[in-house]
Amino acid sequence: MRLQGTYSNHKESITMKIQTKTSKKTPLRLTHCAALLAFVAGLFSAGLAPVFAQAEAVEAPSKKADKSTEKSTEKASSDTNAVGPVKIWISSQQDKEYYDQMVKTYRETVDVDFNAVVSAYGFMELPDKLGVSLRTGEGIPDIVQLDEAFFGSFLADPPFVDLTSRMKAAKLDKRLLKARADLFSWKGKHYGIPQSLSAMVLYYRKDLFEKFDLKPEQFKTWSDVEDIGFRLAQDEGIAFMSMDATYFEILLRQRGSDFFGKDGKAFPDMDTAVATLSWLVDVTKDGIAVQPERGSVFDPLFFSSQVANDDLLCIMGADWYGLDLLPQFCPELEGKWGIMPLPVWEKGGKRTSCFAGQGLMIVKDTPQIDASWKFLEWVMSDTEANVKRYQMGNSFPAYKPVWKDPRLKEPTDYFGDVSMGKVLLDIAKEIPTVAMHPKRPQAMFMFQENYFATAIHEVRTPEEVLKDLKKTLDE
Amino acid sequence: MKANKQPWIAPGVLPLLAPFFILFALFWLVPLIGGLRISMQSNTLLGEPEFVGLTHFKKVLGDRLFYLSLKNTALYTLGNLLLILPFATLLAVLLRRTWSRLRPLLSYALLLPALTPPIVLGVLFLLVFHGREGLLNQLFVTPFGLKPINWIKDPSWILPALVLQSTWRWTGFMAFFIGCGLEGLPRTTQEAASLDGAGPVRSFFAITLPQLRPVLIFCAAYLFVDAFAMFSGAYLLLGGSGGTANAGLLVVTYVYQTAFFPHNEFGTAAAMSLMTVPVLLLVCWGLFAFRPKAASRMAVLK
Repeated sequence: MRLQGTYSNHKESITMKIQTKTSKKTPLRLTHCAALLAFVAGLFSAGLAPVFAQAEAVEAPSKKADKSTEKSTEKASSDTNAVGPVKIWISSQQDKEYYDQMVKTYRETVDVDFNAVVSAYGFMELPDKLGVSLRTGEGIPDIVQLDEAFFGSFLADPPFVDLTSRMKAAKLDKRLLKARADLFSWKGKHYGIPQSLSAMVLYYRKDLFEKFDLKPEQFKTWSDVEDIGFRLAQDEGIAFMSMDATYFEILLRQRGSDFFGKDGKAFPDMDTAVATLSWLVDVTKDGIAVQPERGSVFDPLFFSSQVANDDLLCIMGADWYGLDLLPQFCPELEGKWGIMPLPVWEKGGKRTSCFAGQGLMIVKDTPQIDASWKFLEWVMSDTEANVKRYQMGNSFPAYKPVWKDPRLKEPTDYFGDVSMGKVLLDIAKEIPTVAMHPKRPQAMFMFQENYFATAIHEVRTPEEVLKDLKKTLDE
Repeated sequence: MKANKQPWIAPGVLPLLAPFFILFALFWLVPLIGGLRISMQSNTLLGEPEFVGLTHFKKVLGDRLFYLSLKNTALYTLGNLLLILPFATLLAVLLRRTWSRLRPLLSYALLLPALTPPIVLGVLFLLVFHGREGLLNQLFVTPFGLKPINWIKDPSWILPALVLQSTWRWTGFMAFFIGCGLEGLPRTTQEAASLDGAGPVRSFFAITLPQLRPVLIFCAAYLFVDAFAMFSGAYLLLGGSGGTANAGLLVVTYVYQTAFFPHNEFGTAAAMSLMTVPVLLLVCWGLFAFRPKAASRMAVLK
């Protein structure tokens, strides 16, 4: 509409034009707003609907889960070949190579129809990935390898099959070393089978022992370690051994105690715990033990710095430490290591302890329970499978019948003429039991990452640290 | 008369804004609603979780580690703001005064740390913060006769180490933003000030800095949100923990620990995450409340 007439007419016509345009645009604007609001409301209701549905229909979830487990168990018994390969999750590449080989051998010698896919994830990443897959229900594995350090975090409502009756039927409950067989159990039920003995020993440098005119027989007790270690630190400027936060629970267990007691309370023997931590602080202060730069004996930097620079004579470690980490990170020290049992705290005391170690579990609700169990049973009880586990640098088996095999006493290439098997078999029966508890991972994690450094750097006393940790764990 | 009232938004613009809203809905709104749902469910891993209402929220409210993580995050954020903004402003001013031919190269060099993936930076800073042999100790501590600092294990130095890492990463990037802000400032006010006898320092604080306020507020908001979302740098340096005495425990680290190892409590972690949203919203609102108001509300492109 063209503008005509006087200025006031002009203004009026503009006003009318704007009003007309405005009145035409208002419904369009309202439509857009309404569409946006509907979109947002739809998202909210879609997201929150399951919440309200659950609030209305209250039914014990454990009953639901049990019913579905029963159903899937029945299905698995009669229908093991129709659901695709067994999914096996392993927490290291080296172990994956072993299990790939075992799957192949199992197919060739036991069950030609058996099919499995073995996937490797990082040691720390696997429990996270397992948690996510369980929570989302997507990509859940059939068999999972978990370290005992992580096992406890799944015990609030174990997502693993109860293997107690199966282990009994296969006599694995008797044939596995009891201290290890009970490792992956909770409230009388066995949820996993241990892969390794995880017996703690002292790996010592034969060349440095020779240099300082030392012999393993001189270190029968930890007092001997203190006396000789102090002299070495003062006179020669070298530490006797490494220091790591994990040594606290290892030595505590050697002394007959643990993070948790039978009643589930933390530090059942506080005096022993304080004495053990105080001992660790004292030997570090005196230079008898040296902490790695980044605080961990599992850190590759530890091997390329303090170990390579001959800053220490011994490292305390389990069988898998010597079979896996030492050859991997110190290849140049091949043939230079000896192995001896741990010194004792008092005469007649245990010459070993234990720490960590992988176990294999079958996840509940998998349609492949029977197939998975048959494979597991074979891997854990077959002589060749056990021997191969040792020979491939994985771990020393906890399956007692295989201990008679002479190949387990043969030295490995890395240790030269030293037989790890002989040392381990000598101390195997002294391995203490680990007090499993759902808060065990939390206790280990908090102690290793927070409390230990506080004590070692003398920010707080060992007693203050442990009492604080006890209070946190018992809350 | 209802003349001269500008339309709030021109109708033709909504379809152009739609991609943003769709992505916003997909990557923010939907996960937020999903998180809200998980926060009201039990921590059951396998099987159907049950509705637990506000149980997790009550648990988090009574968790002293949550408050510690909030405190650490607040200190970390404050440290970042106090170090990065002044340094970045100084760098931006220096960059403007340098030779124009060198400016592109220097700008690129300043941007590089921000372009590096955080996980790579984390690995790099493990070497920088190494107790005895680390770069920081070798260059700035031991040459002055001081004892080497254990940046990653000493509880007094863990948070400063994280702040230094963030400062290294973001100062150049913020300098870039502030430099752009400086470029956009009218020269007439500067010239008028110098004609009136104001020196460069007086001119900078009285004229340049107030005009830079919107850019600085934007940078502060960016750094604030980044600090609250900080995960990979701290995770790599402290191995997924809060460090000695939880001195470096940040909110996202604690949420991660709760959701995964060692707790495996997805519901509690979701509740914890949601409880930080009001804090973030409040601070961001506060920051933007300080921005200068627009002279007029302009109609969007027709």
